[in-house]
Amino acid sequence: MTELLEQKVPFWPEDKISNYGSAIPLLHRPDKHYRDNNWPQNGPSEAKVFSQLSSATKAWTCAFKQKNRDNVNISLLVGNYKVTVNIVRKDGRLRLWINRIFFASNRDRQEALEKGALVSFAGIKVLTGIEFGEGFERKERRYESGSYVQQLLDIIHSPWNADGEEVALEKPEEDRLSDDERESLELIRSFIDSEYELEQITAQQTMPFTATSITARSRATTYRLHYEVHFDEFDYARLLELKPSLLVLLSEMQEPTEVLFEVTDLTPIEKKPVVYVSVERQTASELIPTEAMLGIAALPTLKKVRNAVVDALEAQATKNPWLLSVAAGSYRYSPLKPEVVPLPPSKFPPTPSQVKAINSGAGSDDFTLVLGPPGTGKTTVILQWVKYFAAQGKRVLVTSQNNKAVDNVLERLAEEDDFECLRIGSENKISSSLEAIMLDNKAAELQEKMFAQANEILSKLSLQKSLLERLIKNAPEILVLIRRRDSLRGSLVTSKIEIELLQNKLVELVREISTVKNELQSCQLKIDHVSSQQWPILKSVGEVVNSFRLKSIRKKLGQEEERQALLEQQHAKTQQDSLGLELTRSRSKQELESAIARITGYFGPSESVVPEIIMPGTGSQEVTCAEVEELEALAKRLDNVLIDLTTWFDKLKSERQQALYKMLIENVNVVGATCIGINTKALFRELDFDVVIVDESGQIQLHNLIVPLSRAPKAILVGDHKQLPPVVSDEVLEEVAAQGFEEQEHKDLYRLSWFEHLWNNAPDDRKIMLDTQFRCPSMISDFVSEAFYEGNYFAGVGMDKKQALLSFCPKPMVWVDTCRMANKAEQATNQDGRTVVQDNACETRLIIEVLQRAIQEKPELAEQREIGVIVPYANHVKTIQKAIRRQQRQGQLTELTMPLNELVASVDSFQGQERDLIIFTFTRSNPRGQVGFLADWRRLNVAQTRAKKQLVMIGDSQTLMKGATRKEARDSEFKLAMQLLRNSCVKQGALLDAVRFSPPSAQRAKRNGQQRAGQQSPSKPKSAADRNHEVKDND
Amino acid sequence: MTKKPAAKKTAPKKVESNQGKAKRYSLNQCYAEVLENHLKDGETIYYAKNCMLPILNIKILVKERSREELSDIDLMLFRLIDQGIRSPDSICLLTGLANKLVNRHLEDLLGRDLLCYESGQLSLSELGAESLESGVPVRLVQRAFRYCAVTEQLLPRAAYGLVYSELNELRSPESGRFMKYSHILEESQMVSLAGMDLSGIPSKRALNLTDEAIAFGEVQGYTSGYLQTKLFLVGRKQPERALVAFGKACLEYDANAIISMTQPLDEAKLNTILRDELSKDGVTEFSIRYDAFGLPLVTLEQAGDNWLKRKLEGAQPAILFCQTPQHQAKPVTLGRLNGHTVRFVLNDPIEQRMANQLSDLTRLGEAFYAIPFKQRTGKIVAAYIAEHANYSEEEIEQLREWTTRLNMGRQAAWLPEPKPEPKAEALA
Repeated sequence: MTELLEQKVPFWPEDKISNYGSAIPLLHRPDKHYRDNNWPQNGPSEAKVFSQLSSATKAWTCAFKQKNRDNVNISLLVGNYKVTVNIVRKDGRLRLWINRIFFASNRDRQEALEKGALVSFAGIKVLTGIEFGEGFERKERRYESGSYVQQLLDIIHSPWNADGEEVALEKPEEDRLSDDERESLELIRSFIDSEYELEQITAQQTMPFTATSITARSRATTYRLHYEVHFDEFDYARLLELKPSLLVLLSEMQEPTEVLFEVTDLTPIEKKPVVYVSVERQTASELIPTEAMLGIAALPTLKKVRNAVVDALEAQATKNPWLLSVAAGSYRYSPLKPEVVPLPPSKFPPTPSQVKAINSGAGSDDFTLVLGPPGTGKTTVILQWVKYFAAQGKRVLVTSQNNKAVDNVLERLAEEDDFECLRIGSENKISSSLEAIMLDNKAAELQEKMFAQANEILSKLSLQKSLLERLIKNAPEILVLIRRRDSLRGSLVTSKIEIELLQNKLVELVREISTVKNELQSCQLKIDHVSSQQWPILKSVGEVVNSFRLKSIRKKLGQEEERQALLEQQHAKTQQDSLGLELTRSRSKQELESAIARITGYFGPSESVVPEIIMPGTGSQEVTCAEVEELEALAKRLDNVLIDLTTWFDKLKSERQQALYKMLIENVNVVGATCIGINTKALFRELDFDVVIVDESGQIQLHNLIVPLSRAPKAILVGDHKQLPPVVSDEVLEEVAAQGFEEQEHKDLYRLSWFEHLWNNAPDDRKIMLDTQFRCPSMISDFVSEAFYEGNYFAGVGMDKKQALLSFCPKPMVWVDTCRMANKAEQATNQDGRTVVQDNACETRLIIEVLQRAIQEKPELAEQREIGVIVPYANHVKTIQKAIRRQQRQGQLTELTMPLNELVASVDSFQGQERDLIIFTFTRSNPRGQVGFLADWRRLNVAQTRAKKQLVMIGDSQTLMKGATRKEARDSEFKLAMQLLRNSCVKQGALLDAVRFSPPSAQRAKRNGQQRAGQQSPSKPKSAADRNHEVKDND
Repeated sequence: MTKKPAAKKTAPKKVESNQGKAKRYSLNQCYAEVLENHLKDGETIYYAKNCMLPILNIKILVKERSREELSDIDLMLFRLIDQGIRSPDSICLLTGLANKLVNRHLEDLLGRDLLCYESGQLSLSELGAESLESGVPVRLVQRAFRYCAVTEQLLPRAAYGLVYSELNELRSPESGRFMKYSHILEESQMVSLAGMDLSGIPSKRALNLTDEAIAFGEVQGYTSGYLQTKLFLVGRKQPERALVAFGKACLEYDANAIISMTQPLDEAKLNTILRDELSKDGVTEFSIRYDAFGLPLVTLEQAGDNWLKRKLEGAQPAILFCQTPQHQAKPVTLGRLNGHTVRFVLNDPIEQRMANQLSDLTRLGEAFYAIPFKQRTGKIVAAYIAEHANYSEEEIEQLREWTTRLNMGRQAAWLPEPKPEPKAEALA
């Protein structure tokens, strides 16, 4: 605050003052007076004014052009003066001549504020023309060239140049996005808008459907409303044809209302015109009449969600910093530094390519592309990433274009205990196996966990509290004990030293006594020696001498004996002292142990919940007096925490569960949702992610992928652009082209998945291919590798050992070739010039035959639902299903208990699945070799690689290979692959004549009906290989 | 990638000037305000002119108590941290909240300066502690205040209703028009912020501070510019004080610095202007003399309705400013007098009577409106006037005629309605 009050700020901030840098040279004639006529008589002299000007550093400047004059004038408001200046050009040089000097008035100040610029400079130098010429123009180029004048005019922002010509001042608009980025955004918008417009047109052009009855349907649900809607036969047939996913309730004026019915089952009851629908919102019953008109809904949600992301990208307000520049092709890649992800030991260790993918995905700062051909363990790799990221406290979004793909991954992830999974989306569309991790259920589970944990925590804290209270009660005694403990410990140390000293003294005394004893002994020996000494001569003299000597020795002996007695006395006393001390010490020790035991008894073993509230004595440290004195403060803190937490949990318990969703879902580490589903609800829009993993991204175009990618700074795209491509509409492409995006690269961005686009353009370190498959017998993967993966797709260990599953199949992959069958041709009709494939009766019969033989031999295949029949054409799917149903009515194939739509389905339905036995029928058989959308060989790849043990392909090799050598043909890649396949089958004895499988009736037909073969003449095939064709059987 | 047709361009965002948004307080009303309420005994107005007051628009952090409650989660975090539970892990464990959620809240609270790190550990900042104590967040909010760059003090609340032009807005036509007829006060080159002292402020609201304001924090930035105000030079025998009016509120400025910038009176020029001005309204019989104040005093022998109804200061008719034996003259400025004031004296007895009566009526009406609405016993001005003036029917009729003649619609509306004639039956 004091700092603020002492602060001073310039009224004219620096950014408002233009810096001229140097002095402004103004020229004058010494013989001329420049002061205004109204100059006061007692006003300063011209010299004084010039002097004041020379020290000025700031002035208001204006430029003006006098009427009917070309040149521009400048005025400078400096302090109390206004100086007007003429810009004069002479000999091509620009000079600033003083015109007049005034006393500044209020009006001048007004003008300065109105049109002046504040300029700072290093003084105004008033010079003569000669001085300027010699001192400035000659020395500096800017004066010679006159740029110093222009610089002053530039500062003034004058619309006039020095010659008086008006110039246009334009400030370029700043743009944060590059042109390429803007164009990319527009292109994406164009995709989104075109799709919606076409959807709207379809919706508008479709006649409404009359619902004769709309009634509630009982079904397990969390929040949705479920209805059963009856239609008349005609409308029902139209619905079956159009297969809408969303219907809208129409008002009496046939205008769409807000009530939307999501179609959950178009054919719930056989042969009855009934459709099951559900409503997401809690729509009041009066809004849903018992009879109504329904229309096809063009739902703007998709468009809104995607466009909102585009807007966010434009505003650079997403969490993803690279998405737009990568899309625009302007991203600067930095080298990817793979992490070393610790992988737990496993019975099935990851392959080197899996390890590489895991490490690269973990280490990337932007994105990683993982190409995962069939059976190469994509889900295993995804699991490892999720584990790794979850362990780091990161949240992962697992997404894909459709619910099924998301479910496939989530089903695997949900088995793990290391992290919490949540599945977001419509309960109608999510696998029932994931019910437990859907929002309501997951929230309930998390809430339960939270409160269970809360109870545990609260009880532990309460325990701590009661222990503290007990300690506080006994604190005086504890303090006495601690003091006693510390004092005893001190005295023990002292006594130990004292005892040591006494022990040393004893040793010393013993040594001294020993010395004395030796001395005594020596004296005795000397006495004996002297006493026994004989004097042969001078005996009496000798005796006298001896007597003296003996006297002397005895004297010494006496002294030593006295000393010995004294020492022994000292020794005895010391020993006694030592013993006494040891006794005391031993008692002290016992007392110390007792004190410690009593202290410990008070504190006892206790557990601290958090390190911030630690009970004294819980660690290895002894309790101190200070800690005991702090007990009350600690108890107070603990009590406060306990009160706060109790209030907190009571409040949470009283809240509605939904009110806690936002809080609860924060505990989730992994969220599974479709690309669009993650952004449709506000609750999830606020959830932040660290990583997004997109599965099956080989099927997702950029305008769909932007939604999940915008949610996290890092992405891992897993997919295979050599399997099914994205759903592409030719009409959308036309609409996009009509909006100006008609170049091939624009179309490709819509036609191809963004994964494929990136795979073709990203640096190599961003691309990892999983190359080893553990699903199919090697015979299948070897063919697929050579045909579609340039030989880079390998069979894992053991795959080459897989034997044929069925006795009638010599190899795990066989081709039942119908080329020699009499009635092999497809059945097709011509609708509006388009060939609509209906059936291939021959192949249908063969499928039934193969099914019968397979089930007869391996009934467990049917029991375990391990059979799949993959059929490219939807009408053919239906005829095969009908044929099976017919068989079942006749008591055949009754072992097949699985729903027929799961047994027999299109290639698209089978992507991501696997079965022990796969029967794949090509359907197409015609003399012209037309294969329609089979030409997209990616379908063949998908179909073949669904087989875990046995693949049985049924088709006419003549049709399928015809024209393989025509390299320019649209279907040449497919046909070359078929040629390769046939050669491979022939080589390995896997090409089987279909006649072998023909039932007797068919064999008769072969004999009798040769002429019928080939009568069907399919019309011209249509070019686009899109999913709509498959659905509608159009070629 | 290239696209054939030109890409759609987003239109550049329109930068709105703050000028258009400002509520312009009628500066005309300042005149009456100063005249009535801000002159000391014996003082008169010498000079009155629009004024460009240099000010700083200071963006500053203000520590304020919030009116919103703390969120449950934030409150819980505060309480735990206050009790020494400082690690996010412990907080998560105790509250059952997700780590990410707790970290997000902690980051938010750190960002709002409610928490800080002390020896590497989370702790309540000064703001946080105050927030916990008051149960509401104490926030550092950024507010902008108008600060006089001449007197170095916060400007009164009324100043916020006036037009403020930043430097780069000075060149707009609107500012330009105002500036052309304004006195421009000279700013301090280095403006001291010593006036930003909350402790010395008796009334926060008077200076546009919220009641929740506790203290000023750091200056976040400022802009310089000019506020459109009105300047008055007042005094007893000569201009002694300078007042800048912001509406009802006035601040005193250094008169000497301002006087030096004003143009001195030129009697001859002034006489000519006055003659011209009066002749416009057909006034020919008058005399001009200069009084002890040095101001022109114009005695009108007969003013005439055209002059008397001429709108002068605050759009009031001239008759209300004229001197009569009963009322003192009120100084007025005329456009061409460049801020200097002049006074008028009525000599005609009829006009004097008219002026007296209308001035009394006006004073009475304004007195009514000066009473706060809730304190008024009656809510109708005419009733108030009827009660206090005790006008006869004739007087009311006379006043009605005069107010109509002189276009004084406001005063006309205040007049009590004539009492209805008693009915014959009732009389009977």
